[in-house]
This record gives sequence, C-alpha cells and structure tokens, in this order.
Amino acid sequence: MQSAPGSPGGTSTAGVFAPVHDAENRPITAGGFVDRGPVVFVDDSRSSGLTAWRYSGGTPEKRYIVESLGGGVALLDYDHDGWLDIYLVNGMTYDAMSGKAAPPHAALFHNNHDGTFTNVAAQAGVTNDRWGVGVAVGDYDNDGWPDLYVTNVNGNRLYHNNHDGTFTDVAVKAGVALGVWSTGPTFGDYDGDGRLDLFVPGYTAYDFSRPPVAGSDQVASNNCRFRGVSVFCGPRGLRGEHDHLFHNNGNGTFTDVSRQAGVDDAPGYYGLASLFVDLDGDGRPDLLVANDSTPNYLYRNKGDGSFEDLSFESGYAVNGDGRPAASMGIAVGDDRNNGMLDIVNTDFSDDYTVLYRNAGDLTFNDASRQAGIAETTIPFLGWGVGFLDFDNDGWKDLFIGNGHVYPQVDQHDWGTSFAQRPLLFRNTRDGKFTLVPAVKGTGLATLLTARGVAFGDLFNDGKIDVVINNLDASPTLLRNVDPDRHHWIEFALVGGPRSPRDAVGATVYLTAGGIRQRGDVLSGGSFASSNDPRVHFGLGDATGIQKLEVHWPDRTVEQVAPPAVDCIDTIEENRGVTARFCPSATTATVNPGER
Amino acid sequence: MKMAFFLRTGRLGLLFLCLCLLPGSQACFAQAGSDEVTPEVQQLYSEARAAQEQGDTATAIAKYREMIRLAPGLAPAFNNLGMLYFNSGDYSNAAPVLERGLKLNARMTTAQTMLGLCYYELGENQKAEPLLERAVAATPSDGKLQLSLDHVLLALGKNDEAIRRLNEYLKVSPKDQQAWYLLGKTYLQLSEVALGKVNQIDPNSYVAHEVAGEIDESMHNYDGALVEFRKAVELAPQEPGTHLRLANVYWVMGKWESAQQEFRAELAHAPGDCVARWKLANSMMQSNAPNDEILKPLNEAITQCPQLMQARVDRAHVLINLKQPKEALPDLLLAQKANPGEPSIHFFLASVYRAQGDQEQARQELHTYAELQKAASAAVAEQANEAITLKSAAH
Repeated sequence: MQSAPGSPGGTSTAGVFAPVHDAENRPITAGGFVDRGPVVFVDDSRSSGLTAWRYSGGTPEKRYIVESLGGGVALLDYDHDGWLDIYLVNGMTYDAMSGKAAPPHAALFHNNHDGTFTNVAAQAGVTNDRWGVGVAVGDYDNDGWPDLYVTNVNGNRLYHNNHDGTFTDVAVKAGVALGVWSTGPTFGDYDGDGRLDLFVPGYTAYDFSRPPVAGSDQVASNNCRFRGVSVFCGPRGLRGEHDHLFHNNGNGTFTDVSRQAGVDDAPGYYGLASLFVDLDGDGRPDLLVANDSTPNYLYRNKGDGSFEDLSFESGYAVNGDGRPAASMGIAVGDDRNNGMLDIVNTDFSDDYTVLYRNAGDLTFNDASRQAGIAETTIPFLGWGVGFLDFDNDGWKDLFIGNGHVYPQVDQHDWGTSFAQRPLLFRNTRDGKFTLVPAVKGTGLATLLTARGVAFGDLFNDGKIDVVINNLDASPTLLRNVDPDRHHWIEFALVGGPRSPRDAVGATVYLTAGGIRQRGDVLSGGSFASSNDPRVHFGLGDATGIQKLEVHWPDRTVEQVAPPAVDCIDTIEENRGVTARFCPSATTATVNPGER
Repeated sequence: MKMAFFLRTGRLGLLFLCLCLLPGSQACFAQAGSDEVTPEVQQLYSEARAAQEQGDTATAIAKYREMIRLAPGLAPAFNNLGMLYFNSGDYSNAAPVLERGLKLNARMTTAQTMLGLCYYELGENQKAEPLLERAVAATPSDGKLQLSLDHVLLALGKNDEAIRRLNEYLKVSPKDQQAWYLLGKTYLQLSEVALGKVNQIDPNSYVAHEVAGEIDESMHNYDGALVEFRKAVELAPQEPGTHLRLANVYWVMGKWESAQQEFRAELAHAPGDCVARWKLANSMMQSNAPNDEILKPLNEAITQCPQLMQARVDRAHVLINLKQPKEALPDLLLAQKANPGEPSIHFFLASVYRAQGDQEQARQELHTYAELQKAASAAVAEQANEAITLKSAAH
C-alpha cells in the first residue's frame, strides 16, 4: 500500500506548519510576550553567581550532531547542609580535544544559603573534563550521601561522594564506565534488593575522527536536511547505540544485565532520556526510555529481574498519530490527582509535546490536544521538562525548557528560532492546562538555548525553582516568586534497612483539602537531569494534612502522623518524621542537615 | 574396451564427449584417423588425463597441444583441448582450437555449443548467434544457454527476438529469476530506445522534458526531475499528466504546499484521477490543514476509486482526528482486509476501539501494530547498519 513519504531528514516531525508570529512579527518562540501579568519566575542567574560558568559544545555553526545535545543539571545536597546544590554538565571543544586548550569543566555550585552559589567543582573533583551529556543522582552504596553518575560521549563517570566535600570517580572500578555515547541515566532499585541499579541509554555511534556528514560512510542515507535546508546529519541514518542496565552488586561494582533483563535495545534506538518509575502501582519501578525519532520504550517490571516490553501495547512508543516522535525529555506526574502518573515527552519543532494520559493497566493515551498543550508547543523544540506545582494550589503544572538545534532556523521564516522562551502551563484542574503568559522582563520571557532542566526548592521557601543548562551559554536560574500565599510541605525521605537509603522509588500519598496527591522520589528524567529528591506538595489553602502515607521501595506502606504545613520534614522509614525545618520559624525545630 | 574420459564440468556446467583413444573402439576410429593414434599419442593422452586428475590444467593443455601436433586430424583431441581452455576461461585460445576440431568433424554438437559460448564470451556475437540457436534448439530447457543466446541477441540489437525467446522460455521455467531479470532489462532497453527517439524528434518538447524528468526521478535525482517537469508544465500546462508529474516530485520531496498546488492544477484537467486526489488530500494532511477541509478530496477520491485503500486509511485518520471514530471503522476494516500487514491500519483500529471503550480489542490491535512495526524498524535498521558497514569498509 503506497503511503506518503513521511517527514524527510534526520529527525521525526509532524510535517510542516505555517509559521506563527507575534504582534511584532517575531516567531512565537522568540516573542509573544505580554506587558502585564502575574510574575511567576524572575531570572536570578546573575545575582546567584551561576553566570560565572558557561556550557561549551563544539562550534556555533553546529556542523555535527554531537554539538547539539547540550548538558544536564542535577540538584542535590552533596554536603548535607540541608540546602540544594547544583551540578551542571559541560561539553567539550575541539581545541581542548586536541590539547590546545583546557577542557570546559563541569560545575558544582555550592548553595551559600543566601541566594548565591559558589562553584567548587575543582575542589570537589567533579569537573569531568569530557564531552558530557547527562547526570543522575543516587546513593548507590547506601552510605547516606548522594553520588553522581555523569554520562559522556566517551566514558562515563561514577562520582562517589567521600562525605567531605569531595568525590572520587570509581566508574571503571565499578564497571559502569562504558565508552559509548551515553545520555540521560536513571537510578532505581529494579530488583528490590535495597540497592540502586543504574540504567544508561545509548544515542548513536560516534567517531570523532570520522564525523557524520552528508555523503560520508557514517550516514546510511541522506538524513542531513531540515525543511529542504542542509543541516547536521542524524540521528536517523546513523548507527544507534544500545542501552545498558547495570545491576548493583552491593560491593561497589555493577554487572551489565541488559540482555537478560530484556532492556538492551536490540534495534539500537536513539535513547536520550530515561526514568525508573512505578507506573502500575505494584511497588516495582518500571522503566521509560525517550528515544529520538524512534519508538519510545515502556518496560513493565515483571518482578523477576526482567522486564516486559510493552512500548507499543501501552501506547507510549508513538504519539497519537502513530508516529515515533523525536523524544527529548520525560516528565511524570499525577496532574489529575487520581493517583496515576501521566507522562509528558518533549520533542522537536513542527511537532507537539505529547501528554500520555494514564488510563490504568499500563495503557496510555495521547491527550495532548484535549489537554490544551499540543498547538502551543508545535513551534518549540522542547528538552528538559517537569511537573511542578509552581503556585502551590495542589495541582501539578508543567514547565518546558526549549531551544532549537539548527542555527539555520534563524535565517528562515519557519516560525521558530534557535533561542526560545520556556513554557509554563498552569493546571486548570479539569484535565487541561493553560499557558501562563510570558511577562516582559520576567523569567518566562527570557530567550534560552535550554537543554537540561531541573526543578527544586533551592531556597527552602516552599516554592519550586528551576535551573536550566543552556547550550553554549550561561545557565539560567529561575527563582519562583509566584505571589500566591498557598501552603506547602516537603519531605526528604530516608529509606532502610531494605529500601535504598535515599528512598529513590518511594511514593508519597498526601491528602489535604479534600485532594489526594501523589509524589515520587525519582532519579533522572527531564532531559539528562535529576531533580530535587525531596517530595514537594502544594496545599492550596489547606492548613493541615489529613493523611500521609509512604509506600517505601521495599513495598511496605507506612502511615505517617501528619506534620505541620509549610515545613520541610525528614521522614525515616519506620521512624516517622525525624527532622523538621520550617523557614517561617525563627529557629529550626531540628537542623535539616542532620541525619 | 572403451575408456570413458569424463571431463570435469566447465564453468557453464557442460559435459563433453569422451575421448576414445583405445584401439577397437569403432566410434573413436570413426572420429579419428586410426593411424594418428600412435603409441606416443596414447601416452600423451594418459599423461594429460593424469595431469587433469591432479588438477594440473597447464600440463594437461601442454600434453594436448603436443597431441594435436602429432595427430592434426584427431578431432576429439581438439575438442578436449578446447574444453580445457574454455573451463579455464581462456576463450581466446579455446575458440580457434574448437574451430579446427569442427572443421575436422562438423557433427560434434557439443563442441558447437562450446564454440558458440566462446564467441559470446569474446563478444563475437555474429558468430555466436547461429551456434547458440542450434544449441538452444537441442536443449530448450537449459536456462544458461537460453540466457547466453538472449544476451547475444540483445547485443546484436535483436530485442524483439530476445523478448520472444525469453517469454517462451519463462513459460516452461517460470521460476528462473535470472531470466525474469534479463527480460526486465530488455524492456528497459527498449524503453530507452523509444525514449531516445522522443529526444531525437524534438528535444525541447514537453514530452522530451517529461522523459528526462522521469529518468531523473527513477534515479532519485528529484532536483533534476523538478527542473524537467517544470519545463514540461510551462510548455504544455493544459496537457493531462504534466502537473501530476511535477506534483509527485514535490510530494516525495515533502514540499506539501507546492504539491497541493500542482495536484489541484492536474485535477482541473483530469478530474477523474483518484490517486491525484488522494495525494492532494495527503499533502494537506502533511501540511496540517484543517481536518474538515481534508475530508472533501478524500471522500471524492474514494467515491471515484473505492479500492484505493491508502485514501481510506487517511480518511479514517482524519475522522479519528474529528472525533468520529465510529465513522472511521468501516474504512479501516476494508483496508485491513486488503493490507493486513500495514502497521498504521492496526494503530488506527486500536484508536477506534479504545474510543469505543473496547480496551481488549484495542490492546490486540496495538499488539499486532507492535509486531509489524518492530519488524519494519528492524529491517530498516539492519539495512542502515549494512550500508554503513559496507561504506566504511569501501576504499
């Protein structure tokens, strides 16, 4: 049966759309600002000190696909002082690769507790100095201190936290160094042995000595055009790299169990992001993999050390048009407060961001249009993404960081732009979202080349902030200054003895104001990034919590005595709340840094 | 006693007559002057045979050469020597040897066949033709002989004769892929000749540009095809087919707006072309036109050509987008019956069943979709990997 040729070129799109311009005839991705409106975020990048650092990846011309991915960002409290620090992955330059210049370093910004951050990467030993991509946070050795897994184009790092402000790269010793182009990793205890395992997606084979250009022997066919214009080749047409699942042996080493677990990605799809998350409520983490221009993966955890590939059957492999999208980032969240996690995948311009509604029994339906996010997102090229309750009304909203990959888009009237503004969608509580207008001069009106995006309460004020790692630019720190006066609560979970110490994989159900919300402790997701591990709940006008239930990774369920609102509580498995920090109080009830 | 001398099969799998040298064999003496079979000749024959059994073709050839020097009237010796040369691919030496043998005894049909094949290999098609014709007449089921003759006929420009013979052969040997391939190539050559005549008559006519465009298109040179088809349209805008060819190239290139324009222009002159109408609708879908606008040309295409399944699948897709899943089902069921291996049909069926609340049926369709899609993806990935591997290894 003859069918349409499909979108030509190196990436999957939905075809061609008429350009959308704002009142000043700018492409909507670089415009559409309003003069007045509620200010949700302010750009505190400079005042925070983050602009002292910059991501560098190849050349501005972006002749090769490796220069386009950018890097991820992780939020973690590496020094246990109760405040989130920021880890930013850097790329590489060709001068550095040939020894003519120092390599761009990753950054570890220590939170100074006063709105500023200091880069201590060098002292901490986490500069990476390779062509970095992603990062995931996980306490793989259950010593109570968060470790970092950093992926690179050529040799990954497992930075073990030495508890003294420094880290040691033990990737080779641990058996997780790989050496192929790795992207957005995730930690999760897939076999329930209480130790975090590690999943690492692979993107494409890449040989720096023979980069893929049109007509070269590294590209199978002509996949080096976008809308008829020559651009860098791929990923379609390039040989794909397989994914890897590493089982934690409990002795500082890991074993590659990809094939026996059934997650080795035999076809070699172009993996960009991944996330261990319990999607069917059976207490075992399932696995999502966002693949670029190839079908996504949804693997159901069978509970026997292996997974069942339900990618197509679940509906997650492709979008509602039956087409594999150019998936970049993954967000999961219970945005309907029905206890079920929905999934959002960002993807390319000339395509819509996909909201997969969880219909139960591991069935997901593309509800992007019904939810009101499809049309708006078409001109944007989305990367890092997350559900966050930015206004603390008890309903999770959606934030997307955007930025194109082809500099050539700025030379054509295609309705898109290289630097793009982020998108914030407010949850209207009826299964739909509405775009929060970008007020001039505020964080939502900034033009960025966003890639990795992480979400967390950087200032311990109960509001979720956003950190963005921008391609070939300084990072962006969007401080949440939403004028709401809603209540909130956050939980830092500590697992044990049969759960991972950092409780990755735990699910918290909180009932307040007649609404039952769900939050999960996760590692990875977004694009190549890792969020604040604490679980945050906006409570609206509710001044008390009716019920608090923690489903620990060891599959035990604990009812926790409801604590006071507007605080950050530490909950230890089987011990309840063991520490509390309430920013509105003059003194902390318990030092948040103590464990 | 008759000593059979079974010669090893040559590259074309031919078996040849035995060489009878021993006294008393009437047949052999009938072929050879008996007084030429001297003990020395017999000795040379034995040595040649031994060398052959050892795989030492060079020695065997030398022995036979000495034999025919000593016994210039011994036709079988010429045949065997010719066979040795032939099997070694040394046609330039095989041919004169076989010619001399046949001058001595023109009735050796196998030698004639061998000589015909030599001439074919040497490109002496005029000489090859009569010999191979006789050979094919004697063994009409021999596909290799048939193909050799057809190659000769094609080389001599006797395309019609080649086609006739091939068609006759394929009636009795319909599974001969090589023969089908040669037939296809022959038709292609004929079409090239015919198309060449178009250019000779008027290289600047719209027909000539269409021919040039089609040649470019067949080689996936869409840029070139675009230029030629555009010229054809400029020269003959009212001629049915000119806009269609241009539209098809735009369609393949993903230039949806231009494709729509040309499809519309074509339909103005050829309103009965349901495929053009379907492609117009498809181009509108690709450029994300409103679904209700896409429905009109799809409905028209299907009314004109109810068996156009691709139009039915696209219509079903549009109806699903318009939240009319029930109306999409009949199209999908028809398409599924006609094309059960097309993945997209099962995907859309799953969407319809899900919308109707039949989760189990939806799941089954998705499972089928998954299997078909995985197979298709794996095939594409394998081809891409092979291509990259081959290109990487090439110098």
